[in-house]
Amino acid sequence: MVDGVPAPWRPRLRMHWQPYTPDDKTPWNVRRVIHLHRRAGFAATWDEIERDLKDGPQTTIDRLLAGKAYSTAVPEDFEATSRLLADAAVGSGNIQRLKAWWLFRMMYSPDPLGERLALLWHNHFATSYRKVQDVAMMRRQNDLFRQFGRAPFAELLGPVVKDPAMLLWLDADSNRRAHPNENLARELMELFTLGVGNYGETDVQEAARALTGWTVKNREFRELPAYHDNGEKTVLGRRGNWRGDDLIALLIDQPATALRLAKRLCELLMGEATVEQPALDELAECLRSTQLHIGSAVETVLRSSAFFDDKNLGRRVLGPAEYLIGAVRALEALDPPPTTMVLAEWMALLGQDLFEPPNVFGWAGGRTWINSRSLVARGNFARRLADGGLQNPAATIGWVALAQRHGCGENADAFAGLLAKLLWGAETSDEARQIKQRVLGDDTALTPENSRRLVAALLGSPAAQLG
Amino acid sequence: MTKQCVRRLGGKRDLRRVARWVTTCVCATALIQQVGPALTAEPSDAAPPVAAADEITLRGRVLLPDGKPVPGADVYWVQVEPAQPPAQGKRWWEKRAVTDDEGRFQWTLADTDAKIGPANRPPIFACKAGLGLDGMNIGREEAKSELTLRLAEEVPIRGRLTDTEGRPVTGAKIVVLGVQTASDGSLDGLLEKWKRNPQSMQGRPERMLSMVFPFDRFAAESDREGRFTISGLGAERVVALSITAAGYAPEQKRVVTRAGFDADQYNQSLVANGPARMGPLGRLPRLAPPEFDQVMESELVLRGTVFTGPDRRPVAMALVDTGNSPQNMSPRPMTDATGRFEVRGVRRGPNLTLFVTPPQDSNLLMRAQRCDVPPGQTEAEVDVELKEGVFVDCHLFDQATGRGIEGGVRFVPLPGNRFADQPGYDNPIISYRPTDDDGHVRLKVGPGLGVLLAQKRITERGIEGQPDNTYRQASFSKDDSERVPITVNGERRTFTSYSGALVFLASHNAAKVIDLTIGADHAKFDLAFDPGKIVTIAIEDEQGRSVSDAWVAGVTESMQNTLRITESTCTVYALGADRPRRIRVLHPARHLAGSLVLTGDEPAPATVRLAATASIAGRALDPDGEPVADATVRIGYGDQTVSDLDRSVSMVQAPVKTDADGRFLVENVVPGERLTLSFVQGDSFFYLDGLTTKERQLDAGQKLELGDVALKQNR
Repeated sequence: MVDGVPAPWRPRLRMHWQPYTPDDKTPWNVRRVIHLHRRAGFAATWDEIERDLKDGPQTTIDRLLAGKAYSTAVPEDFEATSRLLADAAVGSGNIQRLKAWWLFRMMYSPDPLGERLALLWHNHFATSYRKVQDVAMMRRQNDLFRQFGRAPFAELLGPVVKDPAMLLWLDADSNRRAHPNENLARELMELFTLGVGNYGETDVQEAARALTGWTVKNREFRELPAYHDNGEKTVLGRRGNWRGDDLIALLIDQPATALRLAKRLCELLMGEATVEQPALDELAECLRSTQLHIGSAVETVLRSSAFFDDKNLGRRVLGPAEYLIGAVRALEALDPPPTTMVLAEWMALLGQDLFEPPNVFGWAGGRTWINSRSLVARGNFARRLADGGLQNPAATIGWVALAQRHGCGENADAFAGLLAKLLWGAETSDEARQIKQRVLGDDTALTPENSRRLVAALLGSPAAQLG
Repeated sequence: MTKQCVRRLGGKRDLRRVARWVTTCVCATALIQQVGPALTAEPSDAAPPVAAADEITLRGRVLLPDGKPVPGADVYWVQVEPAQPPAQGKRWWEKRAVTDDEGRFQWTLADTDAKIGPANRPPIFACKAGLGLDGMNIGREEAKSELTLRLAEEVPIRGRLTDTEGRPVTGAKIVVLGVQTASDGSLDGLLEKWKRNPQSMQGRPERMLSMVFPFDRFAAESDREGRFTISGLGAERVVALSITAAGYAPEQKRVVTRAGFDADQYNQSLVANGPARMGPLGRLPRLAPPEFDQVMESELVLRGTVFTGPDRRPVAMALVDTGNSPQNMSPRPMTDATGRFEVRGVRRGPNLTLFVTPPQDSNLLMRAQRCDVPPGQTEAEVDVELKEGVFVDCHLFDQATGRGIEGGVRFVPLPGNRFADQPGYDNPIISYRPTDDDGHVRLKVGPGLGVLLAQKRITERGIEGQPDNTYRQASFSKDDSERVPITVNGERRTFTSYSGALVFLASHNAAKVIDLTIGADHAKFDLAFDPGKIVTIAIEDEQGRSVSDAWVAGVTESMQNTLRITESTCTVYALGADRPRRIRVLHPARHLAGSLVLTGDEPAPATVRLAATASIAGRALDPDGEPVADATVRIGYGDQTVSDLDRSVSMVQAPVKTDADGRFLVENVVPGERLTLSFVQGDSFFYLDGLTTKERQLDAGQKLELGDVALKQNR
């Protein structure tokens, strides 16, 4: 358990989130270690997988929750370097640099779960630079997702709703007593807390009145009393002279909010529509009993037998960030590292342009990540990574060294098997062998060219799109 | 030249040092190209240095900041070889003396040394390990007096270079592009000026040490941790650095060598005082402390072929550039015999443009081609086709005297030019090509209908002294006028180019319509400059007393026609009855303003009588009714000449600011003019319009008190 985080919910009659204990049917093996890292992070390197295999699930999950899961290629002064890169990105005024900074964090942070949760909240509170047009504000909002990403939801929701980037994005800075703007109120109810069907149009109008007077001055949140509607409002059946903070507290208290958060967390950790309603209800109850403590709910899911069940392994479509960063880390393509600015462009090509979600709903995720266009882009990305085309042009990448490091010698079949194991935790080499046969035929020599072709083929294969 | 150096340095013992120095000079050649004649190891045999007219002995002392002498300091002299257009001139530096125990130095200029004169003030520098350099330009006055160079305390520049992956950038080359300092040795005044008005620091340093000084002392290379140190530039300097590294896009830094310098507050002033809507950090260079981190972006590599004609003939020796190449890149990327090129160090980003300049003797036109590099690539292939143009020889001359005029000529296509939108001809506006001293220039022009536009050479000058360009604005001949309609709006005379953009005739002194065909032979055109008439004005106050130290706008018919005059009279140039000109006068210290219309036929002196300026006071409130605090208040005049006058005066004065309660007082408002007020607060822009109308303006001496005013905001 992590300091300051309540123990995972332990009701007397927990039905759906029973703790996982390895047994013959669900052993703690390479596949499950890789599964854990794919869902709660991006991907582990082989050294990290071996470490976790040895330490067992309890210690491994403790490490993930404590933000110490990655050790390979993590800079000693990671946070200082991250601050330097973020400051420089803000200084450059170039949003591409901020995207590169976030990818740096995803790739090298010892706390991949923190970055996954930041990505979850970025999608939940989808705010786009296209309208905000301020790199510093986007960075500040992103830091909130990281700072409060595991906290009780109220600690996250309050600062995010008052965040200047959010207020500009949803036109809240023009929400005045005389002419209320309902955008923030509507998204606060529909997207950030309750979800559709749990409020009415009148609730939106009354909530907008409660939020009047919130604005952005000199790039900071300001509350202008002169522009606040001091009249009584009725929101969700409760009457009072509500202000913005009252509204947030009221929404936090609604059962629908807990259920919506439970769905969000299950989409992240379990995949879309894979968790049935009773299990969602139970997780929502868990959240309510801990003041919507996100970290506690995440821990409940990660330690559950449902999470490690065979039915949950390799069934979730990897999002672009998981696919890109996962490929780089799993294949240990970290020295020389790919250029994060180039990776940011690939993220956009694959459909997830960081800091620029398509609309207030964010990215739909799940199966929508895969379409004919994105599949071509994923294939092209796999080829570029294999060819070393993501690195600084002055650097070169060698896959034969990876093969030799893992004892594959100069055998192409062995190397294909290794790639399948690293990418999706393949327990047998069948699929890898088929791919190798399709690409190289009977040629078993692991030349640099053959190694590139194998990396591209396996990374572009259907199995590598799941995790 | 090497022998000369050895002799002055004391014989063969220093030969090795000279050889090293020569190498360094060669490396620095390209660095200087941007700022002046090229630095090189040896002057060309074809063009020996100009001999000194008189024997001049330079004497002086090198001192510490506290006035104590500095023995053992090296003193350098910079040789300058005049430019021989189109070739640039050359510069190189030589160590001429070492100071004695009293910090004194002395040497006599040789016949082969560059001539000192009004237009040629070669620099000298003094350096010593552990201290910061000092230098000065030597004109005739300085050459007669004892020179004093004050070496500064040492504040080394320490940097750490990191890439966007957080890894150290090793082996980067860091070179000094220039050093800016202040006359009194302290940057306080300069930085205060920066804080108030960063734009005013652009191109007008209080004191810029020449760009030519011993580079080998001030270049560095980053180590395995990406760190570097540059010593010897001294405290209280603003140092422009160029940073280049293989595999990365180049960077530039402007470093303030003051221990503990807090750059943030100055960079924030870019937000507070920069032009409105420039974004959070604007486009002006940011300042850095003497210890700084720099994040380098990985390069994009562009490769391709430059060709011409349907058979794709390769074009060799064409210069290829993206506009963000490092200033000290040498040699510049150039196509080989097969037309192939490779440009490294390109910065990723939208609107990437490849500039291709064919060899000078080729009739191919230069081209600026947009590169649409697919996202996610680190390398890209771009082919460029060049089209043929026509050589045009122009001669600029004074129509009254027939003498040639040094200036520049450009070409602008007119509507109906059917080539202007075609690939290869689609960058048809030729930027100014400078003439020689006698006004002759050759340029390459695309085919089709267009206008040759000529202007006199403008030298770098301040706001005092004589105007540069005293010729009248360009006019078309009767025949040309029928082909090019001119729009007159007040004193603005414009015509429309092929792209729909307006071309201002106020920038030009001669214009000629041409219509060339592909494959045409050389064409020749004479471009006559009309000096017009001259009138002297006398400036008086309401009581008829002479007024000196005023600002006068409309002194010439060209742009930049505002002068600060010290006398009570002023000469007005380039007048003509066909375009009467309103002359504006403002005396900000005495709060006086006036105007007068001249045609050139007035008896001299014509008197302009000044009256009291107006003022506007009030309290600025934003659309929420909150005070707009600490905002810069600007007046926008409808009249161009008044606007120029106001802009010139405001460049040397502290900007008008609102206080914490939004209150403001704008003085020296020119009466009788339509105007608006704008307020820039950080990156927010507010404005107040409707203050004046065509029928209602401020009267002389009027003190307008607006009270609380609700501003509109541009988002």
